[in-house]
Amino acid sequence: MTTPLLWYLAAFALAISPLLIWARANAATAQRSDLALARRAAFLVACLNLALALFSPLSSLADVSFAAHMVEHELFLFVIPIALLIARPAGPLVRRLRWLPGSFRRGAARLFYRPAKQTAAFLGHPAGAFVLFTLVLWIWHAPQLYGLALDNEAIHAVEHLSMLGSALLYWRPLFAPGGGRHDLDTGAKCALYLTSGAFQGGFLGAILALSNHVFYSGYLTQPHAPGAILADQRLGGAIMWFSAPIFYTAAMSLSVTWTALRRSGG
Amino acid sequence: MQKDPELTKAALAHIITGFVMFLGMGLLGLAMRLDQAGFWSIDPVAFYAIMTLHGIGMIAAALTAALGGLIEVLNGEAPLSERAIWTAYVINFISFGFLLFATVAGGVGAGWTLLYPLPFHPVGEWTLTAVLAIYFGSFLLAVAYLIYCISFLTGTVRAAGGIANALALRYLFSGGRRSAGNLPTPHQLAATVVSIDGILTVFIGLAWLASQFLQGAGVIKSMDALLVKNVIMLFGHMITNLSIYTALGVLLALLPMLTGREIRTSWPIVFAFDFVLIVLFIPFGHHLYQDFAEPKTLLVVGQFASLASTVPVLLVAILGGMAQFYRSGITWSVPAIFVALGLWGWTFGGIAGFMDAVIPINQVTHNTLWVPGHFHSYYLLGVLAFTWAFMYRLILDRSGGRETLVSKAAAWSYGVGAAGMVLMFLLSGALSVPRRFAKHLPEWQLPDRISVGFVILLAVALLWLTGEMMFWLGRAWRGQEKGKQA
Repeated sequence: MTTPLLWYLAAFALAISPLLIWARANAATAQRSDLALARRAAFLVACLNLALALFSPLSSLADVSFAAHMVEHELFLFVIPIALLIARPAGPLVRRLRWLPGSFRRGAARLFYRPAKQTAAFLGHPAGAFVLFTLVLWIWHAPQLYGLALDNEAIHAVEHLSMLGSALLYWRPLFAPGGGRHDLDTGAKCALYLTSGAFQGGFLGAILALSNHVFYSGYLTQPHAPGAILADQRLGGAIMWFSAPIFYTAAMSLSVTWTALRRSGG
Repeated sequence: MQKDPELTKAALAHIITGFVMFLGMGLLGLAMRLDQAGFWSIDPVAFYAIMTLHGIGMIAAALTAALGGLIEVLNGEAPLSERAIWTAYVINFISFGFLLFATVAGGVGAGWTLLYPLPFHPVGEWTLTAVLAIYFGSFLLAVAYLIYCISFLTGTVRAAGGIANALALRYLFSGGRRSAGNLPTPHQLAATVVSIDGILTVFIGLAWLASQFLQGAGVIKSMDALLVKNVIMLFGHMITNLSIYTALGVLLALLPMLTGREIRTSWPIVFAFDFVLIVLFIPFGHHLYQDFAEPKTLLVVGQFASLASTVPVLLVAILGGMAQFYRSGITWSVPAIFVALGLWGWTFGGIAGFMDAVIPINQVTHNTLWVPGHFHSYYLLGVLAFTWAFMYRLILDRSGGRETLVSKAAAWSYGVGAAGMVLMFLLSGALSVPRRFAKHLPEWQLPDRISVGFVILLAVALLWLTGEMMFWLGRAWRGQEKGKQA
């Protein structure tokens, strides 16, 4: 076997291991309800797309193609966070750690889980989440920062983590609301929230798709045919722009179904 | 059934969105008039991008606003899906973003009745991405409209107990002697007809779009130009007429509110709408009178169908509307003024259209400014007048707001401004000034310059009314009528 193939196999095993743990945890308290099945399916979707984004050939292609990089970003901004919010894997995974001493578990919860939950609630006001989501998207597409992330793996990881984090906060009011007064509990609020998100993302995509200027000079160091870099940038912009309606409309429809399923308890 | 307050908010959102789009597109219209009048110079390439956005945007604005009115009119009478309506709203809004960026940033200036080699061979004026964006935006608009139509149709059919009852077919074919259960109200009938025709129109549009996408992808090289032109004209004719009939549905619900007189479903009304259901597909040939290759039969059929299709409008909307007004003791509120202006504009624009639909007259007026004169009357003083009447009444009723003398003066000024503008178009058309010309010759510019004054009057009137409605909008949204929560 060649080294890259070993890499992929090891990475894939790493990516799906949470799935195996989670599935095992759920099997122990097997709930046949639609809700449980939906959560399991969502977790599977999240893991597979995470593997696709980080460990598949898409990841290598994203280093040399802006368009491929945008496909990767779409996974971090839409598919993975929505799937994770529906799956809510933290509970079953933590339950699996019952074999650990109680004091350790309580300490870990105080250190990690509760602060994370409180921070999310604090930042989770829809308006704040939208602003953060927009800022993260636009800042990381600024040519200078984008170039830095392209050259430095650590910064690249921070970029993807921040995108995933801001996306989790953005989609949370729709898919994992806290039951508070800031919930998007009416069609009007959902519509405003989603059209705002779609518009800013589409606007960025449109700029990149319609521009005659090459914004990301990092790709110019790659061997390319004349005009290929600009064409690649335009394609990436078009991917962002044209996929926005699909994702936001699907989210609108899915969030209503998900809310109804949660309320009925499956 | 009780009115659902969330559906009322959905209706308000649609109407307000349509109104804001209308204002934006109106500014583009003013820019075009200023350019043609010689008061301002716009690059011709930019002019056509502005014209493309203005045309598509105005239809989208009128349709969105009229659909909002229909949502509120059907609210409490027919079961409507809030989820479907809000999903359609999101898609509709996003589609407008595509149209906006494709024209403003992408520079697509191909208009909307485009034929090969447009839009794919623009001689470097815009990119393929921009073209695909405008087509994708149109596709999304079609999907949104399909969702609206299915929602309305499902609602009216459920309320009536079947599609035959929703169209009052037994009542129609028995000459008004028999009916199955309660007859649908006129506005429910309008909603059913518009929905059925809307669904069919969307599929016509999607078929055309599919061919354009295939052409853009290089899968097909070209299509028969005459066939494509017929399909475009059929689709365009249908979508504009459907926006008109949607507004008619809103009008038929509004008139009883203003006059205190119920509009009972009668045999002429049922006949008119069921007739429109079929005949609306036939007159599109009047857009092709000057295409020598078009089969003469289609042109002649198109002419007579165009003339025949004015009969239902005349009976139901104009004569029926005027009968509602006559000796009703109606007070001249802003909505009443808009409705009166609308009935006048519809008559006037209809006569202009009637004339243009006659082949010998079309020889003179085809592709002149007579045509924009006709459809601007229909829209500004027709579809939009009825819709703004409904919007104004809805906002003030829900907020407990009051109109003032200045509001009424603004409403009349809207009428004068719009009338002056369309009269100048018609005058230019009578003088054979061509439409869709970015630059006008000096000898054409006098009516253009006069029309600028009227457009500015229209803009000032709209500014006042917009300010007034914005003042009351918060309370209208919350439904704080007379200090009570809705």
